[in-house]
Amino acid sequence: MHISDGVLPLSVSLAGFAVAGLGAAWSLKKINQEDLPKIAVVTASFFTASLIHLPLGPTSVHLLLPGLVGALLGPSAAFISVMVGLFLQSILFQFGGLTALGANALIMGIPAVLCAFLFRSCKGDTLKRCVFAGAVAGGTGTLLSGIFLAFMLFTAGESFLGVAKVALAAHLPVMIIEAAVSACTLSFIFRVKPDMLHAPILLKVHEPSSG
Amino acid sequence: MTKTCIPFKVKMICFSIAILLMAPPAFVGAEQDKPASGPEERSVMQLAEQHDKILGELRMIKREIALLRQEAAKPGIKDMVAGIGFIFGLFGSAAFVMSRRNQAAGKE
Repeated sequence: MHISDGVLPLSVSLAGFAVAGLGAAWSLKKINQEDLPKIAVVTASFFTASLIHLPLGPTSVHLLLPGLVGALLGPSAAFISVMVGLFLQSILFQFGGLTALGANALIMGIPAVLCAFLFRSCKGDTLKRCVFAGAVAGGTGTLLSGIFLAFMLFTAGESFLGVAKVALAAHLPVMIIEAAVSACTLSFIFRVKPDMLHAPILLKVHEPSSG
Repeated sequence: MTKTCIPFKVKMICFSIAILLMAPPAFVGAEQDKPASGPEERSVMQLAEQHDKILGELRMIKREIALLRQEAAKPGIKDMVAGIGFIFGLFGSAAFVMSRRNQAAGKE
């Protein structure tokens, strides 16, 4: 669900970069140093997940995982993780164009942040609640990405409903599989290391400097 | 000296036999010169067949090249490992810088 080069008008592309830059700056400020290894591993999995193809009729779609990234990292680190992953996908895998990197970051990053909030609020203390919240977050991530993609292409002149229908219909199996994958991953983490899911709160408390 | 008398008839017979003996080689030579429908046309046809075969092989080779190009454009293991290495390097440098900053802040 990446936009290639040359699809978006220049204004939309630049605006996408501006807003994505703001999001990245905000995300960078909130990152804790202890979380960096976790963020690195999740970014690496997000980046590699797009190699997993699901055949769908004549073409194939690939896993996206913005929902899982949001659920694992929390709203603060999810945006920068998605942005770095997308940048590398664009350079190494040629998924999406570099000029559309800002717009792609918004398409996948904002759903990741929203799913992070969703997961946080729905996640209870029991395994079942966590798994259910994880499945919902995983599926909603792709759903929101499709809607944002339709919005971006709408600014490029396509009809919003048409693109939305096609994108969501094509990614329905992806949504189901991502929900399953997120549920399995989160259930495993909940059982093995539940404190990983209690990521730092959104507003980092700055310790007052001595003196 | 008197000529040995070969009678004229004998001379004529010998002459005609000589002429007759010379004729077949002349005929054979004439057949070789004429562009008959035999060997030449056959070689032209052979050349045309070979040409078609070579064109067919060229087409197959072009198809294989197109398929190879498609496969080469697919992302491979190298790209995946490169990306993962880049990510770890990026976050590792960030961790290093942050720890230096913490150290400096801690010292002060």
